[in-house]
Amino acid sequence: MVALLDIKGLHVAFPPWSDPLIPVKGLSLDLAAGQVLGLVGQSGSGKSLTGLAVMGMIPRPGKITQGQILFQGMDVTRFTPAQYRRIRGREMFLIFQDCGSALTPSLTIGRQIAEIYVHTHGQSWRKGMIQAKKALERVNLPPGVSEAYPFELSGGMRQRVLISMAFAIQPKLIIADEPTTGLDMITQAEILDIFSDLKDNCQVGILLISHDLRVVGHLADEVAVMYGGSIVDKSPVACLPEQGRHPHSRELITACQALSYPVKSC
Amino acid sequence: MSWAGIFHNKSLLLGGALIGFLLITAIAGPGLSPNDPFQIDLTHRFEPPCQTYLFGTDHLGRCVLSRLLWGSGISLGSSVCITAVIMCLGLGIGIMSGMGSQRVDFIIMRMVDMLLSFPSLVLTLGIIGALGPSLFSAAVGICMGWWPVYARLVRGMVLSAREKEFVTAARLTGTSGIRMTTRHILPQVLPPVLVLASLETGTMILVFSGLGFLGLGVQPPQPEWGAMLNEARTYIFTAPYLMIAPGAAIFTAVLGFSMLGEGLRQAMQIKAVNPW
Repeated sequence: MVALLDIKGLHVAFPPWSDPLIPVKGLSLDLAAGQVLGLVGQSGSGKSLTGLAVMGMIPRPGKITQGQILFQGMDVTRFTPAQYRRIRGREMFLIFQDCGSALTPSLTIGRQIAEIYVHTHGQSWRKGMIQAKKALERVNLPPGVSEAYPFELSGGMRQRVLISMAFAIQPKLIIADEPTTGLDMITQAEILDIFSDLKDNCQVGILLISHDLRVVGHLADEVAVMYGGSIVDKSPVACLPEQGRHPHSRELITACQALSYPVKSC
Repeated sequence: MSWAGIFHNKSLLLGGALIGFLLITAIAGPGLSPNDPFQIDLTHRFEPPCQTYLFGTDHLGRCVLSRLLWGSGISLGSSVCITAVIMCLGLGIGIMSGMGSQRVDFIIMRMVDMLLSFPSLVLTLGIIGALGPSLFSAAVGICMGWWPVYARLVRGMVLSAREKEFVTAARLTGTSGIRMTTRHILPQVLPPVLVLASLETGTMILVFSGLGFLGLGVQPPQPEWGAMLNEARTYIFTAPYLMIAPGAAIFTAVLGFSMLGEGLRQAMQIKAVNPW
């Protein structure tokens, strides 16, 4: 079976080209449908850039210099912009780190969700609005929210709106870039529950990017530790405390335990 | 901005009232005017204000009030139309420049630089010189002289809107091109441009009347405020009241549009408190 996402030896480099800066250096990972892979690591270890590379949205002037990104067996690094636009949003979806500014301020929530649905599925606006209300229901928001503007919602609600877009689109791959950063513990738990729902019921592969081992421990099947642009440790999530060999993994686990939250051990 | 907020915004209210009053006189002007504005009657030259001629008569014995009312349609109508055309040109070209490729942006902006290096009025006078003085050529001249300012402004706002996160987020869902421009960029750009347009309409009235005063705009015997001032100028010592009416009309219109624009700006600033 072809993996949903298979990254092989990915290098992302930034100029000057004589002495390039290489934040992602030989990264390899694979992800099957219905699986959640947690990608953890410090700030600047190249996690977010990996996510953007998969979406084909590396900020200029950076570019992919080596390696392949196979999405359902197709090498997306060779895609033209038009080909990429066709799968972006429809097949793969990225949930932004900063949910506060990821929603267009001048459109109502319902219209924004419906717009993506209409665009990706080629349906009418009427169906789009119905779908938007359904999607909002899935993330435990009242249907009235679809009439609201983004500034009328709280941070947790906005994050849920972004996730509800994933419910409306039903993509095959979701990249969630720090989806719980800046939210309180209760909201975090609710968001993680919604993600579990998404994983169990929609058969999507989720690449969960986070610096918080607790979030990853809660949701992911496998966890990969990133350090200096490549993956240094990879194991089933429950076994990381035992099997994590790399010094950076040990550091992360110790830091997590120091915060007195028991990481499950096997 | 709420409806209650509008009623506390004195500038917006007063400006709106002035402009509303002027618009009514402009539309109903021909019906309201007591006399024929083109009727020359040399036996009634320079009549001071009286019951038949409320604002007196000019050097050809024509009723000043009637001419003022007929002229308000021409003066206000052209100024508003000119501003609308300039705004559309500026929006269209500015958005093209901001959203287009680097080469398109470069070509448009160097053209704008070239036009901006002339004082707008000089450019306008040049175009009127080429086309011959008339209402139409004055309007074309003013449009050509002023659109680069708007284009430059709009381009700047488009560039800053393009860097916002929600635009990237929209791009991540496969949005591009026209849909991106109309749904995500334009709503960010439009409000400030509308405010500027309402402020600038006052300037346009001044420029248009100025051209009329110089004899380069509306041609006689058509009544226009600037042209009326010019005709009255010769008799400033013998019949000074001839200048008061058109002068006051221009003053009121410019004041009205300035206050309306200022009020709108204040109303928008309440909105600008939001985090974006």
